[in-house]
Amino acid sequence: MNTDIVLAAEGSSENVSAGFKQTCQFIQANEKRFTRFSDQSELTRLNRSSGNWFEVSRDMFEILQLCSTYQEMTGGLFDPSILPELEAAGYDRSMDEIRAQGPGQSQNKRMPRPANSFQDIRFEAEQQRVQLPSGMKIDLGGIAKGWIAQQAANILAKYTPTCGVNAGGDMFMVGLPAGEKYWRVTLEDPSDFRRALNVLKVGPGAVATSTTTRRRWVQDGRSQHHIIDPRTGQPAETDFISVTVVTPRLAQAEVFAKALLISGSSQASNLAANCPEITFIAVDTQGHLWGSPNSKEIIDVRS
Amino acid sequence: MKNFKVGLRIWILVTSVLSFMTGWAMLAHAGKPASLFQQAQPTQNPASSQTTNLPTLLPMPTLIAPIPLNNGSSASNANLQPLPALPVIQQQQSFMPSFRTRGS
Repeated sequence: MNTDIVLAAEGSSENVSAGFKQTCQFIQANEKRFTRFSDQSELTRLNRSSGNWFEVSRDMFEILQLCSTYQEMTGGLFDPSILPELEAAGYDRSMDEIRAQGPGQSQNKRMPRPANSFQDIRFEAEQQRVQLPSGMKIDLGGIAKGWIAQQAANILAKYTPTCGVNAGGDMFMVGLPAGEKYWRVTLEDPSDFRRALNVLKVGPGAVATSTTTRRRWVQDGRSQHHIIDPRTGQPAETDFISVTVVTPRLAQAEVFAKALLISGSSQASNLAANCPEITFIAVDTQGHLWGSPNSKEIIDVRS
Repeated sequence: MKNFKVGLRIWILVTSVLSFMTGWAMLAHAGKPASLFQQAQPTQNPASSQTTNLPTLLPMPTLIAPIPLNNGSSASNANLQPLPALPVIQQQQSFMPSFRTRGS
């Protein structure tokens, strides 16, 4: 997943060690299935088969169905089929490779959006197979990371009632630490990663943040980032630089953080209204904080 | 860990009290020594007298309060250096991982 993963658990060392072992095995196995940076991953094989039926694993089937649901809920602002545009913007290798070697020799030109939409994906539940529209390639980076982290936390929770999994800033927490009323999650300043903006007080569930300031590179003299606006096929131009979402499910948090970031302040409220479960906090280009009406409940005023 | 600490404290308390009481009892039943504060007396021939009038034990002084290390006025404390402030030891640290959310 090209990211650091932190596991935390409260309990006897015996149980916690056994839980960590199982959880690590699960994460490693699934990271290999959903990455687009491996020729042999299930995702890459699915992309190669576009236009044809492809038998997928139960987990892949579930994630693709989630993608379809969330694409509809976000009015298309979340769309896994932006992979060709992402690669055209220079994100055609892992971020570590881009940072080490520079962006790829991509065609920094405006990619016409394909005639087919992700909504045209076809599912066949009985045989557990899917058919991507011909020529479509999808990226499951964020949503798969969220799904894996939540599943990992649920595995760890079989060994201890209180645990959390943090995958590169997207996290899922189970239970509450002994004697505590909430988990404390530091909200990083997207303009200065060394600084903290606030400490959020959140219950069990998910927290995810999406930002345009972290995965950036320069291509042909233009500053690029990895948040592609499906409406334009280009890196999103938005007045938000970071959006954090708190919600019961991590895949959902990941999706809405990205969609709200793309939507910007003008459409954020309408978009959030599609999913009353979410609480969001956004940081705009001026450093001002914006949030859903319930966001004040999770901000720690002492910090 | 907490049980170990509590047990250790109880053990130290009990052994201290027992040691003190044992020392007190031994001193009370021991032969009475000559006073160190008495002027030296000419040695008596033990053969000439079986009994010697020894002074009674002086009452034990009560414990005095420790002298503050930073009073600076006592010559006997001249070599003592003030101690740095000790860190506060948490009896029981609560579990709260330092999770940080950031964009990916």
